Amino acid sequence: MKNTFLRTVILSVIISLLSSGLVYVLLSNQSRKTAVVDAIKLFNQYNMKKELETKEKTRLEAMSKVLDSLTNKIKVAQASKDDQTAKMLFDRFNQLKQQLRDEYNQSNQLINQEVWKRLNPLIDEFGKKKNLHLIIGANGMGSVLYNDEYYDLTPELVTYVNKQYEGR
Amino acid sequence: MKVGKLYVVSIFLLSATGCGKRQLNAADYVHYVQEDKNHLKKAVKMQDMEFDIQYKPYDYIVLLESRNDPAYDREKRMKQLAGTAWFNISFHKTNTEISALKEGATSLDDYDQRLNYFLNYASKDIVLVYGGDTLKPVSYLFENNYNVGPEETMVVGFVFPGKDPAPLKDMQISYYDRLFHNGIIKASFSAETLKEIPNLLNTNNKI
Repeated sequence: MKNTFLRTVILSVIISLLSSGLVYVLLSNQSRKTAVVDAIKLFNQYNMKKELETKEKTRLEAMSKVLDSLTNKIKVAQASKDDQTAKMLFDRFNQLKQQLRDEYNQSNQLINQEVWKRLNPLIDEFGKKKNLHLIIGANGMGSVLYNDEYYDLTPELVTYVNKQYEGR
Repeated sequence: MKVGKLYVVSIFLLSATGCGKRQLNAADYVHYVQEDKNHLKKAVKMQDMEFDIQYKPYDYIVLLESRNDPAYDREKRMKQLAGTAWFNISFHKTNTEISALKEGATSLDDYDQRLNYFLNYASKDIVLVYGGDTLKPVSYLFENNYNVGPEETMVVGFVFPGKDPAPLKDMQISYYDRLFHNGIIKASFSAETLKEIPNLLNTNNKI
């Protein structure tokens, strides 16, 4: 009789401990906040990226104009059957074209590096301010297959990083 | 009726507090200018580097300059400063105590090139947007600390177009960091923030 009572008590204690543990796990999972951010949109809408691209565009366009002028000179040399000059200009043209391609690739790489160098600490800061536990970067490569708007903090983060960038 | 009276009293109190600028003694004034919460000093943080941009009101400049100079002519200096804006752009590495100029330099030539950039070229990468005008520096100085500390400072000055005796409009200074590849560093100072700068209580006061 006494044994049955004791067994019932122990069983109820175990059950209540297990259920409170379960409730705790569920509640703590609920407070764990997750957000999804479109990394490509964030990168492209960051004002610094746009400004750096404009600066580089001006420089690369100046180089490109030199190429255009060489093309015209080659045409003139070919028209006047000056093969030696045409060949010399054509070599110079190819050399410059390769240089322009290299400059373009290098500048893209540099902008990419500079922008992420600035964005990463800002994303950390944003996550901490919003009490987020996880920010998932969607990049169109299939890492995030679906999320509803509730989890999408891209516009908010874009506004945040641009405000910080403008030094306000 | 009571609500009406309360409204009138509130407006009176608000306007009374808004009219008088705060007055601070020299030490408090310097502290005010340097304190982050007053928005005259802005920090831009990167992964391994930090830039601090300090706007320097005229009284602040005068207080610091006159510290160890009993013959300092305050009036003359204030006249020289009228119509200009001055900033310190300081930077340091956050992951080391070594100067950013020295850290990661592979040779003495490398260090010299970095130093040469700050001595002769960095000023070309700095602009100030004042109201609708984009201004280039009229004065630039790189404070070479010869590696005695990790922080390096560029001191830069601009002259306002028109006849503004002191900055009255929104200002945004930007520096394009071509050397350490941190992109464009910006700091904004709103007209409101500038208007709120307290007055110096006693101009003969020194720190």
